Amino acid sequence: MKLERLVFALLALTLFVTAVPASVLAHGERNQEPFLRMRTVQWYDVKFPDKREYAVNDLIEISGKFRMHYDWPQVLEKPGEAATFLGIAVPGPTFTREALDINGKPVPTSTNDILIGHDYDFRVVMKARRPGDNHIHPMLSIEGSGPIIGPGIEVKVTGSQDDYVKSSQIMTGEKIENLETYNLTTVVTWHAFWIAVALSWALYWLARPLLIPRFIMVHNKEWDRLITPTDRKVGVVLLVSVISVVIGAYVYTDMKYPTTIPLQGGKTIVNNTPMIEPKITVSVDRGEYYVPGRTLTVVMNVTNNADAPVRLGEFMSANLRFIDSSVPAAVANVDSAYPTDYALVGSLKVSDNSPIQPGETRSIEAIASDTAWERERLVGMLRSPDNSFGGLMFFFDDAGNRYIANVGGPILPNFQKSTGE
Amino acid sequence: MAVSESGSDSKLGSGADLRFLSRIFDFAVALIVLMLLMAAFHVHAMLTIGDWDFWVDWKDERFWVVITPVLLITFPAAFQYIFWENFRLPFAATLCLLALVLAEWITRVTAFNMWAYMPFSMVWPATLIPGAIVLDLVLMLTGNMLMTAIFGGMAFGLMFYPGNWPMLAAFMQPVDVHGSLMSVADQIGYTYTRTSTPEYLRIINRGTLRTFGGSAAPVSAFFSAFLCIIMYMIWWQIGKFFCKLITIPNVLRTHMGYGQEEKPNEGDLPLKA
Amino acid sequence: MASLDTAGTVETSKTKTPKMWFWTSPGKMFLAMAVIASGWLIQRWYQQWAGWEFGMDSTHPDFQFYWMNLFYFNLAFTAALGIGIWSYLWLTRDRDMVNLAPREEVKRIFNFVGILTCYVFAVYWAGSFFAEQDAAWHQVAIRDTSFTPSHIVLFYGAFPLYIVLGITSYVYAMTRLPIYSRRISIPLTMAVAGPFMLMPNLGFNEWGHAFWAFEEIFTAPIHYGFVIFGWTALALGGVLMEVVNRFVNYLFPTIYGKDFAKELTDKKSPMSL
Repeated sequence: MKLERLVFALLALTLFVTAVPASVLAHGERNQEPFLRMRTVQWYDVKFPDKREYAVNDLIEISGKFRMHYDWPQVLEKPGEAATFLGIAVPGPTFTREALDINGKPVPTSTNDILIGHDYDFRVVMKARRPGDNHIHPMLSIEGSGPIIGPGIEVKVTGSQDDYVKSSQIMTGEKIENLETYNLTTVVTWHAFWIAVALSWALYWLARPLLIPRFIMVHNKEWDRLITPTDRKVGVVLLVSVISVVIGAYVYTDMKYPTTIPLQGGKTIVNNTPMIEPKITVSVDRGEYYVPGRTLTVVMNVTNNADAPVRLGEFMSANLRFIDSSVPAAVANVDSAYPTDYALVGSLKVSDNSPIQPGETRSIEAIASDTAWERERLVGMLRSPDNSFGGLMFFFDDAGNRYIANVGGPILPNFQKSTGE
Repeated sequence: MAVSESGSDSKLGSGADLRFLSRIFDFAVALIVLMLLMAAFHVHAMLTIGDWDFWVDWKDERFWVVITPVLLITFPAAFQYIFWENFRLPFAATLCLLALVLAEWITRVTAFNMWAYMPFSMVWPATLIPGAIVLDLVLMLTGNMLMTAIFGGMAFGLMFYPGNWPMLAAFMQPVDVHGSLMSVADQIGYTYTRTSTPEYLRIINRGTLRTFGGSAAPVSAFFSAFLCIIMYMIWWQIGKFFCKLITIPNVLRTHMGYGQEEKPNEGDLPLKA
Repeated sequence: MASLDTAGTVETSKTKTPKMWFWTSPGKMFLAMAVIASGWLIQRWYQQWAGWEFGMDSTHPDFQFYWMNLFYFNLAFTAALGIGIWSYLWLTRDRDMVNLAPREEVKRIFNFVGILTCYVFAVYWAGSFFAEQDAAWHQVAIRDTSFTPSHIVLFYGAFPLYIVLGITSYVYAMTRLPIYSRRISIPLTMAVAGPFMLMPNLGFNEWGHAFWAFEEIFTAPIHYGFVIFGWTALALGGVLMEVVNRFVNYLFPTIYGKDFAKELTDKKSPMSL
């Protein structure tokens, strides 16, 4: 088997195969420490398009919400103090960014207004540029923390990169047909010109005996033979020419482009909405991860301050949604386009999931069990120097209303004993 | 190429033989120097001013204009020491910046464009060749390190921005992107995804308190010119340091047939004029 | 190797010697360079293909197969190459350097220049071609582990290869050339050991990226170690001066007579344009 694959690799090497269909790869996100994924940005209500196949130039929109986790890891800079940038996690410019919005407002640059504890609406629109199979995710980059990636889908893009167009309109009237090639002729011409001048100057010297004869002449102090009067004349002419070309080209360019602006690096202002006062509060007594069974068990006290009885329907952490299939509202909350890798219906069991009455506080045990813990490399939290988990608990009342509670706390590994299901 | 003038006498040990040997040595060294610059100077450049050089939306009028010439006058100064002091050759700076721009274009094409699919309008490099030629010419005409530092170094710093403006100006025109004012360069940076380099990482002019005549670039260029003068003098000395012919005893020398006593090489001695 | 003539003065015999008697191995040098270039271009092509297909998620079994195997191959190959070449050079060393004929020494100096050329060529691939490429790949994948399609070729392929060739040039000089064996040359040591230090400096780089540098900014202080060790390449200027001194002070007067300087400076050289 190994040998076959080796032969295949070698064959591919010699045949210069450029596109072999392969499974879609994640692009590094699984190697981020679990605490970076569990205790920072909680992406929820993310809406994906139903379509999974696009042509070059098609637009793809992902929208939804994210909450900045209350228990922000100490080692990371605090959002707000640190700049934040909403982007897309795609392999480089295979997709281009068409629109990035937070709370309905475009955020073309970074912002310092994303704050811990708050919820935000986001929308990213990307345009397919390069054919291939790729993962696409929304992503929030936070200065000093790096990229925090939301849930993603696999899409297939067909067509040819050559057909990709991105035009633009300069405010003074000129239309840019293609941003990718804009002004390139000028750039290449100037580079070619200066490279030619530099080469000529180098060859002017390389054409005569260089090192050892000149070394001897330097020691014999034969200055005039080293830099001849002709060299001086050539030098003066070249000096004046180079300076004139630079000044002339600068003045000409200024006349050609009278309206230019500096790079725009101002921070975008995002309108913050007030923090939602949680109707349901959760206090974690014990968190335990059962290693062989890939199961997280959370023992917690839930207090219902809402007006209706509620049941726990979903536990969400690191983009994984553990859903109790016995709570219909929770199951109904999963969008059909949501990737099944992340929406794990039936993976959540609750010790006593009868409705918690208004005003009641009850100790319950939530058991989130799925191989996804392993697949997403979240088990690494056991090797983390900050051994804790975080996420969101979604409670539902009979009318289908949803209540979100923050959850988080330390976690204990359990390497052997059964969880006692 | 001409053959030796006498034509006949290229026998071993003859003058023509010696001149031929010396010429081949020139070419061998030239090849090493060119590749060395493409390697070492490029590493230095990409890790000190790289991000400004990689991306069109980093080419600002505050940091790019100051930092680029200051950090790229380094190798030219050191190489000018080596080639001027020993050989009176005034093309070291030009060679440095020529090698750099060639090495940069190679990776912009093979890596940035062919592997990462970045468009060329986003990843074209800046050039410092005009300043480098002036630096060489000032050295040649004055023959003096201090004058070269002051006038050449100043020109190197001052000429960087106007030398690149003809390429850059078009990218600094204003566009309206979803109701925000952006330059074309900003829009390119916004559009073409750089997965691991979010916008806030840009070290650019983010709001200047006061500029002369509305543009920060001339002030930056002037400041850069000042720093270039100092940097030139420092790197001239660094060039000198690396060329010091220092030797220490070799404890393994008896393995090559030498005796126990330490004798210097004849080649270690300075040339007797 | 037996020396060609032991007298070391003007050649009188009628035997026909090649015009380029002093450099017998330029063909080997260009061949070695072609092999290096093809090796890296093949790996560059492999990156193009396997980078996008299998190189973006180090947790995937395909990554283990297509990339980690290349990693092991690169390390094993360069280690074997290094040990082989160095052992060969040491075991076949000149054990009687005191009696080395001048002409033979000239030949060896040119061989040494050829090895240095290969060394610098290998540094080019590591310091420029694959180094700046890494900046491009970081814009495609999110920072993964220390092993990425670009790091595996750059840090564990191109770096070890130039280190092998750098040490090869050092060992060759130590075992074949009087100017480097009688005493230890500091410039040559710096020119080999400095770039070598880029490899250990990786430890700092990866340590920093593991603990605090989550984003990709090429000009970050965490990369300055590479810059400073890169400067040591300037010490090749010192090596040049050592060789030139040896030629002018000892080898040329011995081989070409006391008037060699006049021959070099007063007559037109062949191969001048």
